Amino acid sequence: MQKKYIYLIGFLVFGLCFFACRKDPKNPSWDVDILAPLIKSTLTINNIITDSILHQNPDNSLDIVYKYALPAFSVDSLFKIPDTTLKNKYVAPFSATIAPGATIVSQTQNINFVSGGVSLTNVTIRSGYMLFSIKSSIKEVTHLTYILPKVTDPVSGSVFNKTFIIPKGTVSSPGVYSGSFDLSGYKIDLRGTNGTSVNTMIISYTAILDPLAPASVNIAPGDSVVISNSFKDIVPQYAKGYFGHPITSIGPDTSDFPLFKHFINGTLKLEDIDIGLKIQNEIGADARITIDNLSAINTRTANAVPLNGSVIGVPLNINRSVDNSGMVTPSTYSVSFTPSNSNILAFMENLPDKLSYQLSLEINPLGNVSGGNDFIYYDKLMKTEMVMTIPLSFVANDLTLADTIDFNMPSTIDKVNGGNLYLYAENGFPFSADPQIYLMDGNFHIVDSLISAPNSIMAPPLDANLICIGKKATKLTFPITEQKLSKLRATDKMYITMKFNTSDQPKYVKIYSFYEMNIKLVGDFNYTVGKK
Amino acid sequence: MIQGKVLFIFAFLFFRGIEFTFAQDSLPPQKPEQSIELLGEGYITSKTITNRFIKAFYFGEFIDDALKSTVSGKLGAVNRMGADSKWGLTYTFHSLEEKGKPRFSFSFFDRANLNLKFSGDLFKTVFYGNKMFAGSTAALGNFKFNFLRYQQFRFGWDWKGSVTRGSYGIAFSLLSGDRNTGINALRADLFTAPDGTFLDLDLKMDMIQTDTTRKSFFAQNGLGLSADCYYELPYVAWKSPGKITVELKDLGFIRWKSNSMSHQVDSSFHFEGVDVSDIFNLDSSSFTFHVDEALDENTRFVKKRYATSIPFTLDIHTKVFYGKKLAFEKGISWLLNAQARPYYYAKLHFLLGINKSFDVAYLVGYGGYGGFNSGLDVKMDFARHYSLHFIDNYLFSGIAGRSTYGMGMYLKLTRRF
Repeated sequence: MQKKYIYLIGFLVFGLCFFACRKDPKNPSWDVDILAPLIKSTLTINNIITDSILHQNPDNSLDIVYKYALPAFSVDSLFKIPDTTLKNKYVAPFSATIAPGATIVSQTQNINFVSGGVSLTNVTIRSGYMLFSIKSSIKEVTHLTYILPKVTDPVSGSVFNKTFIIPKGTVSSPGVYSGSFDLSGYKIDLRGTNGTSVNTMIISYTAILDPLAPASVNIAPGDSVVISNSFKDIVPQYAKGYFGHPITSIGPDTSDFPLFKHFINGTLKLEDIDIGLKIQNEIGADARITIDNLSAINTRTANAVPLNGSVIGVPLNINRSVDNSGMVTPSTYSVSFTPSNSNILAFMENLPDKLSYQLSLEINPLGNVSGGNDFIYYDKLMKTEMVMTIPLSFVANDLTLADTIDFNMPSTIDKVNGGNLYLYAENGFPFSADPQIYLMDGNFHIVDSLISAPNSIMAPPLDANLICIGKKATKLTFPITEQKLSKLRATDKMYITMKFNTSDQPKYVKIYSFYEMNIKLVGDFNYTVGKK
Repeated sequence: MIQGKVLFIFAFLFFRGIEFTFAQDSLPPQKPEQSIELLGEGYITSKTITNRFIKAFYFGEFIDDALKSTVSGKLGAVNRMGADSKWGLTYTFHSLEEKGKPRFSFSFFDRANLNLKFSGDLFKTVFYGNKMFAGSTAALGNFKFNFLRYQQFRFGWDWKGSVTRGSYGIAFSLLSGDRNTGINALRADLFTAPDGTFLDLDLKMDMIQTDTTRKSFFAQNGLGLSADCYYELPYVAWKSPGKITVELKDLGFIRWKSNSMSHQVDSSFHFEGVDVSDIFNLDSSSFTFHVDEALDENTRFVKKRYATSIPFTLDIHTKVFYGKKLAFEKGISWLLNAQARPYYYAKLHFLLGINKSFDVAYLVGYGGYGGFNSGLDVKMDFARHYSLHFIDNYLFSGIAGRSTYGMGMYLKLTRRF
C-alpha cells in the first residue's frame, strides 16, 4: 500500500515537472560589424548665417543686413508721475446734530500731479491704481462721494465719480472703508479749475449722513472723517504740454553685439561695408542728439576700435514728429558710415562682441516753440538704429568659429565597442574648413578631441571670376577607440570649432547663394546586439 | 474569452457523455481500464545551427566568433530550423459492456511550433553585421518564419481491429489560438555601398501577427479545428507478422481575430542617413529619418482576421516482428505546411520481459529540419499500473566530439486504473 502511494506521488511530481520546467528565452548578445550611413546634411550659407539677415543680390552674391538698436530713451528720462498720497482729515470742532442726508463735510482741492521740469496739460494713463482708505468715528453710516472732475472714464466718457459707504463707528473703533480702482485708460486734464494751470489735478469729495438713517445723529467734538487716497504706479500712455529743456545722456555703457559672438580667433578682411545710422524721433518735441562715443570691443583680444566719422561728437538736430490723432509721423535723421568717410572697416574687422556707447540728448533746444503742444506716447520714443550692410566678400585667415553644446550620449552608443566614423564632405564653398570637436569635463576643461589630423575639408578650385568650380570631396576620419568612448560617456559638454581659410588669398572671394556643402557621416564600428 | 471557455467545457461534457474511449497513441490495454497520461515532448533541430549555439541564444549568453563559426561553416544557400513542443494530459476510458465499442479519450495539450527557413547571407548579416557585404548585395530573402502557439482540446475514438480488418481511429480537436507570427520575405536584397554612404534594400515581404497586447497563456486570440486519423493494417511477410500504419495528425486551421495585424511590403528603399536639416543644431527635433522609397504605394498595414493552416504530419511506417524478441520498424514522417523535409527513420526493437513489458529500440533517422540523427526509444511497464515511454532521437548524434545538431525528448507517463 505504501509503495502504491510512493508511485502516485512520483507520478504527480513528474507531472509538475512537465508544467514547471518551461522557461522563456533570455536576451542573448553578440557583436556585429556595422557599416552604415548615420547622418546626411546639406550645408548652405543659411546654416552658418541666419537667413533672416541674409540678402541676396541679383547676381546671387549675398549681403549680411544686420540691424542693431542702441538703447532707447524712456519716458522716465523726461518726466515722472510719482506715487502720491493725499490725506484729508475732517474733525468736528463742536457738538452738532446732523439730520439724515445732511452734509458733514465737502471739499475741493488742487494737487500737483507731475514732478520734473515739465508742464503737462493732458495725460492718458497706461496703467496705475488709486487706493482708498476712509475711517469714520461718526455713529451712523456715512456716504462719501469722491469726484475727480477732470478725469474721464475711458468707456462712458463720464468723469470719475465714486460713492463709498462707510460703516458707523466710534473714536476708539472707527468705521473703515478701503478699496482700489484701476485707472488704466483714464484721461486726465491737468489744467486745473480755471483751465490755465499745468500739472494740476482737481479732487472733490462730499460726506453726508446716510439718507436712510432712522434719526438724526449727534456729532461730538473730536469726531472725524479721515480720507486717505494714493495714486500708485501711474505710467502715462500719452502726455501733452511743454517738456521743458532737459539734457540727458545715455551711457557710457556697453551692450552685447551678437553678430560675431562665435568668432574666437583669426582675421577677417571685408571688402566693403556700409553702416547706416538712423535716428528716428517719434516724440512731439525738437531734439538734439550727440554721439559722443561708439566703439567696437573685442573682449577676447581686449582690443577696442572707436568709430571715427564726421558725425561723431557733433550735435545732430532732429525735428519734432507730427501727431495726427494718434498717427505719429516721425522725423528721421540718417547718416552713413562707409570706408571712405570713416574707419568702419577697422571697426567691424575688430570682430566686436560688445559695443560701447555714449550719447547725449537735449529736448527742445530752442525752448517752448510749440506753445505747450509737445507730446509723447509711451511706445513712440526716439530710436537709434544701426543698419549694417556687409557684402559677403572677404578674406578669412584662420577665422575660427566656436560654440559649446550640451551633450548626452545616447544609450545606443553604449553598445558601440569601437571603430571609426567617416565624414564625407563635398565642399562647394571657396574656403577650406577645419572642424574639430573637443570633449569637456564638468569644469569646462578640454579632455580630448574627436577628429584626428588631417582634419581639413578642402576647398574647390576657383575660376577667373573667383567662383568655385564644382565641389571638392574630402574624407575625414574620427577614430572611436575604447578610451575615447569612455571619455564620451563622461562628457556632458562639447566644444566645437571650425577654422576657415578662403582660397586665393589675398583676393576677396564672394559667397554666392548657390554654394553648398554635402555632408555624410558614416559609421564603421563594432556593435553589441542585445544586452551588453 | 469566457464564451470560449464555456464552449470548451460544454464540448468536453458532451463528448464525455459518450462513454467509449481510447487514445490512439496509448499502449494497448491489458485489461479493461481507464488511464491518465502525462505527456511532454519537444525538440529543436537544424542541419546548420548547432545545439551549443541554440543553448547560448536561449539562455542569453554572449555568442562569440568561435560559436558563430560553428554555424557559418555549415551555412548553405537555404537553411532550416524547426522546433516543436507539446505537453499535457490525456484521459482514456474503455467500456467493456459491449464488444466493438471504441475507446474514448480526451486530451488537453499546450502546443507550440516554430519553423524557419533562411539564407546564409541573412545569418551572416544578423550575426556578423553588414560590413562584410560592403560593395555587394546580401540576399536576405527566401526567408520564412512561423511561430504558432495554441491550446488543443482533443476528443478521440479508437477501434481495435482484428487480424483481417485492422485498427483505426479518429480524433477531432478544438484549438484555442494564443499567438502567431508569420514572416514570408520572398525578396530582401540589401546592398551596402563600398564606402558605406548608402544602403539599398529591395524588399517584398508579408508579415502577419496576432494581437501583441494579449500574450498570456490561453489568450484566445483565435479559434480553430483540427483532425487526426489513422489506419493500421496487419500483414504477414515472409512468415513474419507485421503491420503498416498510415497516420495523419493535426490537419486543421486556426482563424485569428480581427485585431491581428498584416503588413505587406513591396518596395525599394534607399537610405543615406538621418537627414539633419541644421548640422549646427544637433537637437533631436531637427533630425528627420529619411528613407527614399521607390515604390512606397505597395507598402500597407491593416488590422484584419486571417486563418493559419497549422503544420500537420503524414506518417507511414511498418513494423515487422522477427520472433518474440525482435521487431524492425521503418517509416517516413513528413511535417507538412512547415519548412521541414521528409524524415526517414528506422527502429530496431528489442522486446524484453514478461509480456514484452520492456521494449527498447535503437533508432536512426535522416531529414526533417536536420540531418542524420540516432537515439533510443524505450517503453516499460512498472509497478503494475504504470508505464513509461521515453524517446531521445539525438542521444547518439554527437559522438566523436563533433558539433551536435538537434536535441529533444519525448516522455510519457501513464497510470492505469
